[in-house]
Amino acid sequence: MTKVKFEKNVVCGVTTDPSRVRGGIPILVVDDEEEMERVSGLLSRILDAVAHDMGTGVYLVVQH
Amino acid sequence: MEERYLISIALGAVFGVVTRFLLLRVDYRAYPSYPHAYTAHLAFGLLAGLVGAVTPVALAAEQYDAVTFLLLVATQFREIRNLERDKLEHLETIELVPRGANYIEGIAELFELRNYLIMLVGAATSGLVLISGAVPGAGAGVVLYLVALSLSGDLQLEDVAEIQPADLRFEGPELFIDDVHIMNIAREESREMILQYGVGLTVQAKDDEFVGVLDNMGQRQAIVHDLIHVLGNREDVDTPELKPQVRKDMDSQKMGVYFCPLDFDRDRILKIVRYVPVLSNARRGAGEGL
Repeated sequence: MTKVKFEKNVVCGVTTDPSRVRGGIPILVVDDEEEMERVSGLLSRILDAVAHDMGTGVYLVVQH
Repeated sequence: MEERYLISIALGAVFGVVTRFLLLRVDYRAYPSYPHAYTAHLAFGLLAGLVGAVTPVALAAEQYDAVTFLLLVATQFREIRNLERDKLEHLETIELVPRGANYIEGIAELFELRNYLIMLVGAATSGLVLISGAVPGAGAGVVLYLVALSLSGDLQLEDVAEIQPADLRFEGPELFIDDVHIMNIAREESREMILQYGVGLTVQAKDDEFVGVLDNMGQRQAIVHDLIHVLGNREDVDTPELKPQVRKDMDSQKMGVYFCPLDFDRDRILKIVRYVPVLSNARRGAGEGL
């Protein structure tokens, strides 16, 4: 049987401000926006995932 | 056996198999695969036509027990549905943009139904040849073929919805098609990629009755599957942001279709979307009889 899956999986977070994230996912702390763009890009490609902007200075890398 | 019986059976079977052949179109959906599945379906068509054609003759010759074979064959045709479904489901697991369960069920159902149609064409032609002779019977066979052809047609997306090309735009990290929100993309590079490769369409149901059709996830999947199948897919496993999406605007019930084809020919894109079949199992007949 084929299944239509709507599972999403938050793999990790990327932020310049570690005080804004807590909890059980890996968090990568970066220096600035430019590094955030680069690191989240690498993570998206490595994990076959998409980086989403939370609007709080945190990017979440989510597998869809 | 009398000669007229033989002519009846032969003409019935021939009309059956010709109908099957003409209903087997290898088109942009690349289904059935050529030549393997093609051969299998022609063989089934011959059997269906033959059994259909024998039935009136068996009745005329008062061989009533022969008619019971009809039931046996009907069971075989149900197997065709299972065969098609199994095959397509197996292939589904490796598709980046799968067909979806509804589309598969629709295809499987159609293959079964066509065999019944052919059986009926065979039976009716053979019966008419028996009653009125070879030439008028054959003429009636042609008419029956045309009836079968019109019965096998289905609604297409253009019959139930307005389809318009639309621009992709970002508001901050949010991707919109027209005013339909599609998704949130954090990275600048991804946003540039989406604007470069992405294509947007809006699909608005013409009637409240058809809103439900577009709501159906199987129908949405069928739309993006057909588009990607013909136009090619820019997406790879590590670029899920290029995966086709169909999302709905809550206020207007308008659908935004986002996808990243290799071929950007606007006329071709619109033609494909217009021809997407309205899946019979996405239509619920909501409101009918009320």
